[in-house]
Amino acid sequence: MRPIRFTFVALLILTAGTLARPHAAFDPGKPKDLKATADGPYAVDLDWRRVRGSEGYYIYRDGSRVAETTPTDYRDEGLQPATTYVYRVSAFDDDGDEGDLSDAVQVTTEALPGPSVPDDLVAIAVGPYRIDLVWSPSESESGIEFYRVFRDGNELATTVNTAHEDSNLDPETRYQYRVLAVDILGNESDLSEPASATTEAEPGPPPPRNLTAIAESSTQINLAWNPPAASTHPVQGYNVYREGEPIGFVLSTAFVDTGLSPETTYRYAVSSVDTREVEGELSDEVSATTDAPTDVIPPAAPTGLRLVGG
Amino acid sequence: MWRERYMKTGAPALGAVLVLALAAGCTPDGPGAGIPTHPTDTYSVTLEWDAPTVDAVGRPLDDLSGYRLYYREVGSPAGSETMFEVGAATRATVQGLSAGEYLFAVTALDVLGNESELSDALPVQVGP
Repeated sequence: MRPIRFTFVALLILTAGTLARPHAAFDPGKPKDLKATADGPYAVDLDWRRVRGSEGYYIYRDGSRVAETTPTDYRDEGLQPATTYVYRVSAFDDDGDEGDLSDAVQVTTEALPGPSVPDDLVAIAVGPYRIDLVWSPSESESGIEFYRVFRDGNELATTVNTAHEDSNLDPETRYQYRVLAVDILGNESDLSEPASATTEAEPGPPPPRNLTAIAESSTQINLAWNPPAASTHPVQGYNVYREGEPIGFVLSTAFVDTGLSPETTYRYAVSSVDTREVEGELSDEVSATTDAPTDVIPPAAPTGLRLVGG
Repeated sequence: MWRERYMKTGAPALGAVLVLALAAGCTPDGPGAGIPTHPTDTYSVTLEWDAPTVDAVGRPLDDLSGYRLYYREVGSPAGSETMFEVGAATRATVQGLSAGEYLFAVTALDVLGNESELSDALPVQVGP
């Protein structure tokens, strides 16, 4: 029995000692089984096992007390997406004494969804050297920072707009484009569906200027003109058209059209041909009317020749 | 040319009109005018004709420009005829003719220089 008594007495002493101190340290033990679960990009839900004798709990995030709560769970809101936080919880009693901190738990909020894939990408050839792109804006939680434009698999440009003008292209060439969106957080969407366009053929030289047609006789019309003011490639000659039909190619800036019918109007146009043998647009038409046929019929002979008084 | 036309048109008429011509239009030139002749006197002849109204193939004529008058003395060789550019008038006077028998004819010209055939030849006895 002695040992039992001793134990009892010892308990009494210990208890009396504890009660005797008005603000004895609260030591209910640290909260156990703290769990932290990210709920979306901006909130974390915490819960833990109840601590017997506690009045409430303090919540610590990254070492700082951020809240106090009575139940054994807590929702921490207003957080940053895709961010890792460390939580601990402690219990306190009705005297305000705080117990030990729980073990730390780490949780990462969800990332914001990336931007949607740019839609409705359209590529339109504008002349021989340029293709214009346009697409529908991507949707984004965080906001779109810019778009990346790819041509034939290689990044071509970035733009904050939903359109891009691709210039200095080769004529008569097919190009394929894709676009992706990048949001403010750096998240990239998948590549859009491809869109293709083929640049137009390179234009020929400009038409000659100041084309004139002058009837020279009843069977001949003379044409003359000036070279075009400017041409990407040098002009080597001209095609001459009568009534829409080609009638000759000349290196000079004049043409003599013979064998025509008298008193007939003919329409002419001339085009330039450059050194690549590319023919340009026709000039404006001019027309001329051949002269009346040359009169080779003499008058009838005079009649009634008579002698009169001198 | 002259020979052809003369032979064709002028010769048959020559004798027939000779007397009339003499009476109608030969006038002595210069101081001796109206006075009986001397072998070296000269004479003038005034002729008239009618303008053609059509060309050689019968189309209306709208580019008549003038006439040429030809004459030579009967018996002189073909090709020796004298020609005057008359102008647009249908009347002409030839001066300085010696007495003799002449053949006269006219042609018409258009603006392009096309010349008509000779008119019928008119024989004229010039002088006393």
